[in-house]
Amino acid sequence: MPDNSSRRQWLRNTATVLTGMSLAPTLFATEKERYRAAGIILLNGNENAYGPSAAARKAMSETLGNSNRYPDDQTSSLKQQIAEFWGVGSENILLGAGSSEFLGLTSLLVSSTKGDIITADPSYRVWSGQAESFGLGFKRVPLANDKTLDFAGMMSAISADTRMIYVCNPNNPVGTYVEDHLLRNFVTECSKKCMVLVDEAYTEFPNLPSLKDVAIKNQNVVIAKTFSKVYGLAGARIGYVIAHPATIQKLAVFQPWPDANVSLASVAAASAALKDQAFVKDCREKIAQAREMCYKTFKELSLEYIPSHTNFILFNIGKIGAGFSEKMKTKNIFVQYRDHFAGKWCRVSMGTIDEMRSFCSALKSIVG
Amino acid sequence: MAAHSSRRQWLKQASIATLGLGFSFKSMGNEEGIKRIAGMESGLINLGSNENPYGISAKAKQAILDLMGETNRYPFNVASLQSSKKTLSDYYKVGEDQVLITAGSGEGLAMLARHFNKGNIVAADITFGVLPNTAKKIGTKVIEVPLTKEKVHDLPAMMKAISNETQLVYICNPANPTATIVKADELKRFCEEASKKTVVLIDEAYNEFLDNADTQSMIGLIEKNPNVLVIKTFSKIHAMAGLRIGFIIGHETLIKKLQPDYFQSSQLAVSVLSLNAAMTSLNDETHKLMSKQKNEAARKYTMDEMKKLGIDYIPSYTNFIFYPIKKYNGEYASDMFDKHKIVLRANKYSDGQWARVSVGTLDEMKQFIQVISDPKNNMASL
Repeated sequence: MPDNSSRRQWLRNTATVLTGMSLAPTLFATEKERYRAAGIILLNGNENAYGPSAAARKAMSETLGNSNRYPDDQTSSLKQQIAEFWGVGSENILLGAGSSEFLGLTSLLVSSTKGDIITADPSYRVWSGQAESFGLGFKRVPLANDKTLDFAGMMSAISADTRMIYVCNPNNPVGTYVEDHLLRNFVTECSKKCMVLVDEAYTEFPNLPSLKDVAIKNQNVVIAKTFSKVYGLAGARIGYVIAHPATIQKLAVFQPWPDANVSLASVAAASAALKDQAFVKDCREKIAQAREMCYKTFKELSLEYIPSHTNFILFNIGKIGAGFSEKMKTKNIFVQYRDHFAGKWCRVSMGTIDEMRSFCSALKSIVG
Repeated sequence: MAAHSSRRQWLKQASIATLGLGFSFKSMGNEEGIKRIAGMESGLINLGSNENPYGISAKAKQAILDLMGETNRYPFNVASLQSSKKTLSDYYKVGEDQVLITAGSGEGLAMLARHFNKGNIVAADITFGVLPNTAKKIGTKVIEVPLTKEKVHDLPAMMKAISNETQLVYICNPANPTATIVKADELKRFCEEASKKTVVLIDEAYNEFLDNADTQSMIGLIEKNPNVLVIKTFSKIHAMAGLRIGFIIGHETLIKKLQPDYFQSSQLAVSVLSLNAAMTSLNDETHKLMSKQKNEAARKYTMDEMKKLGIDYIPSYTNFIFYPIKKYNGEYASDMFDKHKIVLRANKYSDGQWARVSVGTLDEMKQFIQVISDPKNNMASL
């Protein structure tokens, strides 16, 4: 996700593109058509370009007539469905406006005594501003040489002041993951000393098992899940946590009432999406194809990249640096630029096969 | 949406829970963990949650359909939504940096309770529960100032309750669950005086049901006063309870302090469909007027009938009516649900039991009146 300054830049650019093409909004039935007409390819948010699925769209449109009612009975049903999906109890589930809500609330929960949060560097950090506003600091532990999470390093960073460890596995923005048994051991060990927040936003892409069985028995483990990624519902703002019932209750205290912040349409979409595992499998395969296409181009252009197990790839843009994303924008392609590992890197999200073909050809014309 | 069968199943379970597990419908808001019930198809009349029975506008429905294909995109990646904050702030004639969009005003209230978590909070007894209840659960002291005997906020007493420790004063106007108002000029004076010592939060969830809504609103104060906040919702007059969208308006210095506690961007809390629908509904004066007028007619009918029947009630300025059931023996709300298929709320207070019935459609209110007017039912509690 772009940071503030790049977002402003992005808005300016989008506005320019849209205004430049003088598109009358009424000409286009949907926002998507408007984007298509403007030719903008969004590879900056790790969204699923194939979403929302037909089933999710149908489910959402069926809720219109009930938008005036609080969705409490539907949130209860969805929690039950999620619980059955994972083989846990609905008392282990709490719904929120994206998993983001819980990265904030779990930080708030551990912030009653000031201290620090240990995370990998780089890792997902959009929520870190919230944690800092709650008075928590960050200790960022560099990745291991193979660009995976350095568990030994993170473990040895734990001190009496550590309030929480955050692990995103597979790790955004790198795309690598650590094996399930290693993660389990690490989480279990760390949870003896502090809260462990496991972000499973991208597990569906490599089809990794969830650590839900660890979480439901351990009050110091929270699993954050989202419908924003493979389920293609980033704009619906719906996610959930899996945790011990006591931890769920503590988190729920911060909400106006449990599960309060998800809309009826989003609940319906999430329910339909969870049932539609064929869509998940299809997206997983197409995204794997898109990755292979990108790898081929990176190799041709001799660009270093980190083999990814997710819907994004981090690749090195060497001397082009920050100017790279600007150059891509002139070709109507939006990517995310960041400094990582003392170098200049670009994170590109996997769009549709066609979109990635455009990306590859834009990349060739800039780099080649 | 739950299918018919699963909803029936749910209702059955809810009913079992109601009877068997010590739950009851006595709560005034879902913040106490009592579920709201839609259940329209099951023949239930839902007068429990102050929802707008007329539904969202046709334009709002279209706005949802228009953006449905974009629900795979984060709000920051949907070009047309980048102007939402401007649409909202223009409508209320404030600056873009003076608004914070939240997932319903409920989330705004919980967020404020999370933010003002030291010292104490001054609130009325009784008032809408989300903010004071969240504060108490977090461990913040809440100084509860009784309403007057007319069930109106006692502003002089609330002013006296403010101390050096007070971080926030909360006033819901029109008030929930009592449906009363304080006069705009009195409230304005209170805000000006109290804000010298603490932040004053005015909850205007029901403001649009008033005849002169604009002059009753405290939004005009925020421009010059860094200690006044107004919280509003799309759940009531806009009929969007299911869309979870509301907002806080305040001086930019205060909004800037609240923002980091929340999502990285406040728009990240709200679905793209809700945002688009809400911004469309904002300027749909026809739909708002229809809701207001139909509510007024159904409310007048209900209050007139109650008067004829000799049933006491507090004259309502909102879309719900608060009435005493002091002589009722038993669980009034549970009995209404089980015997008469009407969902409403009831609670025991220091001066006895009271019920809160939302104003539904005129037809729904006729059924409600029928139930309470029949002496056999004994639901009038005379």
